[in-house]
Amino acid sequence: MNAENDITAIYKETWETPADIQISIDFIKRAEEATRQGIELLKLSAACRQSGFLGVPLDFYLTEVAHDAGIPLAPLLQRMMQSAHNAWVALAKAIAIPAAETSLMIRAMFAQSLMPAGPGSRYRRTGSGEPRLSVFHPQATTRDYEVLLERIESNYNSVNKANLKSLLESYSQS
Amino acid sequence: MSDVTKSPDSWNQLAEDLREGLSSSVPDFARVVGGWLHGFMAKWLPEGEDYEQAAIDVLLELVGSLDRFNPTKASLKTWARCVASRRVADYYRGREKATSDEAGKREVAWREKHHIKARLPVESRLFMIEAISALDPEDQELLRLFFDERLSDSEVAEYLGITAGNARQRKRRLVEKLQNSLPQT
Repeated sequence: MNAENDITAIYKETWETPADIQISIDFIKRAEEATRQGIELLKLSAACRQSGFLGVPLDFYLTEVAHDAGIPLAPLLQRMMQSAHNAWVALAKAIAIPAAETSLMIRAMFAQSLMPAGPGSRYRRTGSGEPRLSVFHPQATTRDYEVLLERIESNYNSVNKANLKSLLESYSQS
Repeated sequence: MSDVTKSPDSWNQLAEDLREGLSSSVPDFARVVGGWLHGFMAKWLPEGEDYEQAAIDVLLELVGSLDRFNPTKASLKTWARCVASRRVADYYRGREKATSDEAGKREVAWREKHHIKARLPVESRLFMIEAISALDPEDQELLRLFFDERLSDSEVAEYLGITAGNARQRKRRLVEKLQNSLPQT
């Protein structure tokens, strides 16, 4: 057997599956649901590309983009929770938004989670449809954002530093 | 199931329909692509693992990244194999040898169940999963055209818009690459 025939045979045996394999109705239903959710991910990905970077925490950013695009976020987050510790980070990975900006937004989300109760409300839309300014305001440049986060993170204890590192690693791992 | 199950062009059409928001193609996509993933994961993930959930996860990943799918570089069928083999390779990578042995046992048991004989050792197929997951989609598409579709050098060249000599040379290079990294069994 020459090299090409050898590789051809291995290749074919690797992929072969029986033509008449039985698949349950339940699986087909789940596959249809996954396909529909995949389409929602596509829409969210497109909406994120159009929105560009916003100086806000990741969870707020995705919530706002999905809201504006009319995409129901809850089912997607629920699915991401099945396989990941942090559904927001898993969702960001699934739609492949730019890594450099995402890591800043993840850091902001983490910082926000450690702040006293209620700060998230600073981001909720006002009656006019515009988010209010706050420490992570949408007008911030990437550099403003980095400086602010570095200042906040310099006060983290070792546990919070480790948790943030773990969160960032869960995004960067392929 | 008809031709749509086997034809890469039909798979591509289904992907195009989804990208254009044609929801009427969802059931066909789920049945055809999801069905293939179901079979592949059932074959490769070891006993005790939820292979149906793994197939669903890969299906979601595949659909959710259709905006990066480029049918001029590789067919959806090739791309699905790429994502699925990466998932299986990720599963086994870094695990103890005993776990890889489980994969072998699983595949052998699967063959017995479906009365499909293999000519070559299972280690070779495990290697192929790993090797395929590391190839870029264009190279995988070339392998599929030559080995699955059994196209000639000139037919592959015409399909990919390259010269026959180029197609032959790329095939030879890929075969050598795979052959050189094949475990000695």
